[in-house]
Amino acid sequence: MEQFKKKLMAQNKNTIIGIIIWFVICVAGIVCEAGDFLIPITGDSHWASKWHGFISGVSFAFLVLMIVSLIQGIRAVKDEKALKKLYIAETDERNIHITTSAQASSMKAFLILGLAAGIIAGYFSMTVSVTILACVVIHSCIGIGFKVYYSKKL
Amino acid sequence: MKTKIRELRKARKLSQEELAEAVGTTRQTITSIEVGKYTASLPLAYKIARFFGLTIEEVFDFSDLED
Repeated sequence: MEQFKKKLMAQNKNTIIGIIIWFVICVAGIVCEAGDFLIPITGDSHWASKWHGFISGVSFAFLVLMIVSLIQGIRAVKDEKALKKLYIAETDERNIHITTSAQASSMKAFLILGLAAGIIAGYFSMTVSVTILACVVIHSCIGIGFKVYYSKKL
Repeated sequence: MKTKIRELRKARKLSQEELAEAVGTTRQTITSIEVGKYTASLPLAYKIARFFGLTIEEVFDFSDLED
């Protein structure tokens, strides 16, 4: 438990640094609109505005998630009961098993549905079809890479 | 896998939550093990058996594996 507490304290420090960096990026890039890296090179001004809104939303949501995670971490470090609860929630073997099974199933579903979508999209748009098929291929390669890695590690 | 966890727990008047906390797992995991939906890992089985002061074989029924 003491090791988990130390790990959590280090994680909290990293989260604080992450929040500061991300906050600066959000304020400079989105609120102050510093630079034009958020303006898409394709589409009209309507699309650019929508895209800017989407990026802003995602960025601030990520910021909120980091803050919530930090609050949870600080509370756990200060309160032994909360620390034990968090430790159990993170190390519970059934939860880990559920997550692993869900990820394996979602990978299989993504490959099958992605392949089907890529083939169907090929009848309407070459760009969309190639993009989807490229995603499927990259996803498969990453999956194979991790399989090789874990086969050697375990 | 069949287990005697429920009987042992009730004999000691323990709730699932109390047992879960004692062995460092969640109440849901204890429920799943008791109803046979989930098979505990060796370390968790050991912790549960040790908590009741018994051996793993006395808590968990391995007869299914012998077939």
